[in-house]
Amino acid sequence: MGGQAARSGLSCAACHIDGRANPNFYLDGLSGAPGTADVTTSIFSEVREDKKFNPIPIPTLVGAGEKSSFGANASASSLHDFIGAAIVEEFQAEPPPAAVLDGIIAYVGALDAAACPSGPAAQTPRRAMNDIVRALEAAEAAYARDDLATAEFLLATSRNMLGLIAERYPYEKGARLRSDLAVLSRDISAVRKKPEEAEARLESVKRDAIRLEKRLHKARRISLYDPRALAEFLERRKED
Amino acid sequence: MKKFAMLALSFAAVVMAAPAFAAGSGGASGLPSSSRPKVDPAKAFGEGVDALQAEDYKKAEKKFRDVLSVAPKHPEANYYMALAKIRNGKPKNAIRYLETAIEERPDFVEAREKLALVQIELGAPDAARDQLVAIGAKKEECAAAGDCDEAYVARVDAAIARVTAALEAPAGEAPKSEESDAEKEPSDQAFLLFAPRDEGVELYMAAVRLINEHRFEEAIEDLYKSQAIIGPHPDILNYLGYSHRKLGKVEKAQEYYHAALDIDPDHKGANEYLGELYLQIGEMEKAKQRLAALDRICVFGCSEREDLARLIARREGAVASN
Ligand code: HEC
Repeated sequence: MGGQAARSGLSCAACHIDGRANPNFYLDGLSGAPGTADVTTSIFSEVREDKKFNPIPIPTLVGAGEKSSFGANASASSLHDFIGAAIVEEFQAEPPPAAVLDGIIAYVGALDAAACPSGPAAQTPRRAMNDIVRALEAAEAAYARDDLATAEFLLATSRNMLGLIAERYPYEKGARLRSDLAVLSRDISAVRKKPEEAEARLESVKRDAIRLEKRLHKARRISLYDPRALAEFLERRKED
Repeated sequence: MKKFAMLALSFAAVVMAAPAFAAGSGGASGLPSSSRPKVDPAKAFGEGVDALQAEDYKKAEKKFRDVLSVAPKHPEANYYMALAKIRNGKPKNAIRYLETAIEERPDFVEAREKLALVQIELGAPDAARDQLVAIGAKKEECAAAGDCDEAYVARVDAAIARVTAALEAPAGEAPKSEESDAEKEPSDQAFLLFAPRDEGVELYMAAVRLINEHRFEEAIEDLYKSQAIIGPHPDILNYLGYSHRKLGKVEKAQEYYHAALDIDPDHKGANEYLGELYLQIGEMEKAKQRLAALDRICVFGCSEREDLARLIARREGAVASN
């Protein structure tokens, strides 16, 4: 996402957790009741402002693949149109590389009520690092077919995801892990500068990522992946 | 739970959650940064305003000195510093703060009024008359432009009435610029002193909307009002820079970006937009320095860096193909 959306750290998954709804979503100026969002506001976009504060429930995307119209006012007749417009108009981003848009559409289209578990899976450092390794593999494949735009997009996404993990180890005890996550992020960034060496470098980065995953998993109790630690952390925030 | 709950994402939380107000601007990575100055000017500003209200003028002076050490030009901080000086019996020392406030915001009626009253007290009625003329001119200006705001006109009229009364008082009986027996703040200044901080946050949000709608002049008005309540804040200063730049006021824009970076050198938005400004005026090397700063700040990458990098590449491409 671009513009204010990216700057405030917003992503598709912030609203649609694992492609579903997010009953806890709340953002000042954007939400009415928790779980709703006004997606026609100039907080994010100059195009979509409709002069009304009209937050609507964030829908689950499970089953969206079978629908023939999308959006509350049936504004689009294909996932491609709806998502493409959402990214560029609503969230003010540069149009993503075609392969990325296709990937999102394929993902949303494949969210099938019969095949998916009924709720989002728990967040764990393992799962988060796994997602990153998969994104790095996808980047490798993109380099192999000379699709630099997609590869770079995936590298940037991986780094962003590493940052989200680092945020979940906020305490002094997590300092080493945070700085090792930062080193990994720098190494990923370096891949971009030498596309001809991408494959070798990505292999080495992936090995480091898997090693780090084990340490993150071991330390999960001191992280905000731990529900109790998270609750305490938020409580302390409130008191400050 | 996603990163929403994790980050102090809304501006409200960012402003209020002392001392971590940089959470939304610079330090979202959660990594400590050493380059940030010790003073949090928005926090000190709030404490200064509280001290003024509690009539603890010594403390107020100290707090606003802290604020001005990192944000020397903030108009309201200068004005409040002057109030504290006056109430501490040092009217002469108040003058330069009032002058700075006026220089920054020529339509700051209350600052002009206070300056006039101090000058009368110090036996310089001619200087006070100059202020009176300047205040009157502000009203004529907006009348000529046909965009007088009713509340503003009321503030102007009240200021004129008070300065005129002070000038007409017989010599020796000239009222002091501030009565010692806790003279009440004139009601038109109440909005400056007593506006709840939430209101400042709302004004900021409104300004962001206006900016997205390209209504920069109105956005600037709201940003001024917002920073009058919240104090110097890098997010507000950054958008003041952005709005001025979009109106073609490049020099003013540059000042605001620098003011934002003086408070928080790692502010992502201000680094990005200052870089864009350098591109706009053809300073490629300086633009690249901002990009290098973002590379350092954004350990995990950030859209501010990506956007500036894209603009730089585009510009270099355009130059190369010329
Ligand atoms: C700020 C919260 C928010 C974010 C971020 C967000 N969405 Fe949505 N999404 C919504 C809301 C609210 C709706 C309902 C809008 C409507 O009906 O017009 C919706 C609707 C949709 C729909 C249509 C569902 C249907 O059944 O009609 C799709 C598909 C979708 N979003 C995909 C995405 C993708 C992909 C992204 C990231 C690029 C994204 N969304 C980001 C809140 C969000």
